[in-house]
Amino acid sequence: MRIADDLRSLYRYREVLVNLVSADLKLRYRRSVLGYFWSLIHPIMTITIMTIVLTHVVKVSTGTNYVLYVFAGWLPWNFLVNGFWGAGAAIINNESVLRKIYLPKILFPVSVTLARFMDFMINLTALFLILIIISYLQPSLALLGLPIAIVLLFLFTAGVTVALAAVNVYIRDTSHMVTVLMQWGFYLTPIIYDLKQIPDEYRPLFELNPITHIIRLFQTIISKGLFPSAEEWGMGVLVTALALIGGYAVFARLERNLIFRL
Amino acid sequence: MSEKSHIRIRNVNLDFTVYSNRSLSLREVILNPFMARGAQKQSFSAVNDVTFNIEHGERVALIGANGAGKSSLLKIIAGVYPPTSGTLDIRGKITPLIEMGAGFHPELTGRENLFLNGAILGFSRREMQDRLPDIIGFSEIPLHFIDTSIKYYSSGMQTRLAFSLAMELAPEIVIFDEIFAAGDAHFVDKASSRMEQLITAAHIMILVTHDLKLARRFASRCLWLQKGAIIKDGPAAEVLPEYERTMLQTQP
Repeated sequence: MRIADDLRSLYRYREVLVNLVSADLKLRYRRSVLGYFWSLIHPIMTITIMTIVLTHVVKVSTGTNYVLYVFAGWLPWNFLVNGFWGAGAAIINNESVLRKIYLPKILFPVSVTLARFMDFMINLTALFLILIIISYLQPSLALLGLPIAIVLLFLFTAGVTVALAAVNVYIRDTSHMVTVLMQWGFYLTPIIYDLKQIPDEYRPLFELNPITHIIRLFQTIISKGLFPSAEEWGMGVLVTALALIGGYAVFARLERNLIFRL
Repeated sequence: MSEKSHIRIRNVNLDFTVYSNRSLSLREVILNPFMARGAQKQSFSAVNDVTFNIEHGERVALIGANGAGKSSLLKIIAGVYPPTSGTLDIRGKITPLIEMGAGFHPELTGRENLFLNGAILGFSRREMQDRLPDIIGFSEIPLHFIDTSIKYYSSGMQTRLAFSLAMELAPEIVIFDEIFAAGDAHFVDKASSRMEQLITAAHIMILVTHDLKLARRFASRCLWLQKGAIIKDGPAAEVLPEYERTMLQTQP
């Protein structure tokens, strides 16, 4: 099986993967004074401005604590988008080494996803602690569902990233298209508003958006403090499985001749 | 390491498709699917029905004019290019020393690059940690430089670092493409005796070169390629003089 080979080679080349991820993280903030804190400042600032604009200027109400709501939706969204953006360059940027030495191509999109995932986890943990300390967030049993939601988010992102990285080698418009689509996606995913606020006639559009079903898990757990329902879990698992299988299928089909198109 | 290595290549072909502009833009795909699939593509055969075996202990030089397909063949053996058709049966771990420092990242420091490239070449972090003092020592890179981004290194320093890392390998199958000039005369001297050790220890060596002195020194067997096909295969002592004569004749 192809997939078994790829998983085996990911394991065999795990040292390369670790090095790629650590190089990515180190280089992003090297020589900046605040260093890694930037990755924390960014979400705090974004969540702050969204909250101010959307609750005081334009009056959006989600019926819950808005800071918590935006935190729950925007943070996983941000990870997803950063992963997709990183995917475009993942293989192309490593052309020089790929032309000389055999390396499994899947290493590169996976390393991008992992690096962004590290950022996400650090942010999530730090913001979580802050929100608990300022008592915006009451720890509840629902949080037990969070690790599962995180795993689904990671796998969903990895599936899409792997496909995007391969497709972008063939059609370089892909990364530009992703930028535009994600801009739309931001408004087509309930992040700054609640799905309930959408008029019924438009709702199917939002429910067809697979990302909605991933983000919703986080919102239910963190913002509502509830353990997601069987239906919510079911949809989350379904879209993750589709992204993972579909993404991998695209990658597997394109991988063999990828080297000739770099 | 005790197991015997071999390379068996059967009817291997490699066709390159040349695109006038390698990546199709979306516009081309949408507006003119026929153009995109037809007129812009041209195909040529880089490796043409090649069959040979290399057994444990052999030292082989691939020779031939520019564009004869030597490097393409080497890249097929290294697994970089998947062959268009034909089969490969390779036993033994291949270490390509095809252009050293290919995996060096200019922003990373010398030390970080050693770890990254060591991993690419198959060393774990711990193995690298053990070897690091030797590698840095051999490269003669001043210690205060090793934690500086390698973009600030001179090209000689970069090559020396890459070479020193490569020489730490204990490859079963070692393949070279046009050996690099590594630094000043003193270093080249030191490097070539180190390389000899590496080649002696390897199960199989394959070398692509235009330098016939080098081929004579390291290779016992020569494969002569022309237009992607093997036109002569035999002991270096026989093939090399003939090749030399032909090359001199064809030159104006």
